[in-house]
Amino acid sequence: MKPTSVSLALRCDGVSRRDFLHLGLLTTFGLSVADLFRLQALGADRPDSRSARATSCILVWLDGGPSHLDTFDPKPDAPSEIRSPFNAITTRVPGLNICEHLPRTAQVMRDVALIRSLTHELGNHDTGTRFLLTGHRPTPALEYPSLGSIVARERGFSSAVPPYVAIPSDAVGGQSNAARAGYLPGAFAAFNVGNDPSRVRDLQPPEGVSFSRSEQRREMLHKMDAFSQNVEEGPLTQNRDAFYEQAYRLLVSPEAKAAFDLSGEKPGAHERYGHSRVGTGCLLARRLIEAGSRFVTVVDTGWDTHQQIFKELPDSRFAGSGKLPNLDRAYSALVTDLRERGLLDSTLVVLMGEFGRTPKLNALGGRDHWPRAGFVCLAGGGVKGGRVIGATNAFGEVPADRPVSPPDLAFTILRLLGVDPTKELVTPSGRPVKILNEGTFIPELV
Amino acid sequence: PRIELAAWLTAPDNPLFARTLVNRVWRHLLGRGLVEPVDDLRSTNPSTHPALLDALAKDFVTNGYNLRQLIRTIVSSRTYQLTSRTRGLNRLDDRFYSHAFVKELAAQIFADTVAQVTGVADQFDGYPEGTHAVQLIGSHTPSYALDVLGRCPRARSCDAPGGTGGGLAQALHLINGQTINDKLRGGIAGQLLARGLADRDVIEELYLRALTRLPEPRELAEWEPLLDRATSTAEAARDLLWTLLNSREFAFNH
Repeated sequence: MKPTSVSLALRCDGVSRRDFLHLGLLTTFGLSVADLFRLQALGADRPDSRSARATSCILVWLDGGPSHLDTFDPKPDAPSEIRSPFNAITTRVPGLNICEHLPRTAQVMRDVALIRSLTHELGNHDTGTRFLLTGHRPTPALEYPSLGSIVARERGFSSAVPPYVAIPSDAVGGQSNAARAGYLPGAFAAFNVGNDPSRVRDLQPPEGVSFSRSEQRREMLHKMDAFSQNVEEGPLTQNRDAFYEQAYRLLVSPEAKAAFDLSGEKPGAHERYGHSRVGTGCLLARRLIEAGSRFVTVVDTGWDTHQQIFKELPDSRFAGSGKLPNLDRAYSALVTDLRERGLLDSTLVVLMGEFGRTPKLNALGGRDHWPRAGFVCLAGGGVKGGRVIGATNAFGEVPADRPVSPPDLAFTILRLLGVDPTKELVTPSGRPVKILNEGTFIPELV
Repeated sequence: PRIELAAWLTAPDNPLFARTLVNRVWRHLLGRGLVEPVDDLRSTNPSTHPALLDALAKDFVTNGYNLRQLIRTIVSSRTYQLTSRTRGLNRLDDRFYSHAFVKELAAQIFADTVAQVTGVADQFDGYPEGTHAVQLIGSHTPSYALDVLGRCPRARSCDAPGGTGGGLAQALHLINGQTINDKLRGGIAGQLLARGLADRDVIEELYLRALTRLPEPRELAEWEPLLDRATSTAEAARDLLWTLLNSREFAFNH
């Protein structure tokens, strides 16, 4: 392969002119054979033009680890200590069956690519979540940034709406740092909308303060910070300044603020998504994407079903449960709504958690952590729906076919969003680090 | 067994306890531990200043594990009293204490300081009037302000770096939210004016309360006409107090 064609291929992936020059320099000073192979590999798994359309991503995060056997990977022929008591139902995709408590989702499966062979070996919430959401095995040496923060950094603002938003917050995986900015500046952290997504706080001036007075305060603050040079500039002050700038960018934009206001929805829209937390979260996510957010994470907690799984998942009479009906309504509404609005092609919707759950039921009628097998649903953003990628063995224990690793998934999500996962970023201590060290594009998706 | 544990912890030949505690107090005061992260003391994670850590630990043991004495020793050191200003070459130093490291005010301290500056106390559920945020036990007392200011939720240890911080939500809260704005009404600004103080005295008082310094001449030159021209001096004074509490200078120990 000639260096020029390599470079051109890279530029199609959104590499800047500076990198282009940099690459040119490398070539001038001699590119090693290994480098060439790497670049060839990069060219080989470059998504085709249809798949590069995603400009934003909604991640519906099933915090705690959703059971694959009781949702998207039913095993009706397995023995009773493994089999889910939920029936498998047919979907709009011939031959693809899912759990009976996901009937609405069954109707949108033609838009969904289902990976049934997600597999890794990190069975703690903290480590598993970090692996999935950063694409790196966690290490104490370096805190890696989440996919959302990477996308916020690489794609930036497209409007006054924050590029990375977490609903209700970026606390996932038992308060792990998985969804945070890692070694990137804090300014790329998520905007946490707070516990009531139907009423995001502090977007309006306080009582008795008019908009113009609020603007005057802003001007005073600007002057004050210019007067007072007593605080040495550093990462902390830069983050603080960036957040104030983002805040005011948002506050002075009526369009951006309106994106957070669910009362702007037509009557019935909220019902369609459901008034559950995940339903309200998905509706808000769609509004934010529409208004220009790049990456919105909707966190649905409570999937850590160690006991009474067959009561907790379908039955909303149990406190904090009814997970499946709520998810079914929210997820199917989200995919349908995006399609109806013509936003599905440009919006990648990812549905997953940190791992699957033990095929064998435990003594409490629950399932425990099982990272060796799990599922991911991808829709929109250039992904071809109506297909299943990979499969687990007869008991849902391990991938029988086409294992997919968290780095593969992270690589694919970033690539679909037009971010080059092999790009080098620099940590605060000046160390160059690739966005991802491993992982390859999943070509079956596009 | 607890007595045995305590005896083991504080045995003079226990090399771990005193070093751990000294390191944590040092981090609290200086913004960075001699060993980072502070919950990871092991031989392969060495201290930046091993002799200093040893000396402080030894002193701590000799003084009968007296925390006040330890704090006194640290804060009276030249290192602690250094300015955060840098001189070009040491700008990138983030571990050798060639200058003070800028620290964000902790959530509880921020809240208490706002209460103290404005003269309006917080009220926390289940605690007597006048309780400070730093006196709350654990993190279970509901307080959106403390959450958004980034208090440790204690669901897990917050010792490692990369804590929540409040980010954009915190900035929005400080600009528009209750923590500052509710305390401006009926707070100190109005009281000062009611005492008949001149504009300049009001400004100086607010600066002293919020930033523990007097305004510089150019600051006075900016704010004095502002208060003077305002249709409502009280509103202008509140706006100035809002400005001070939102300023970069207020947000950091420097």
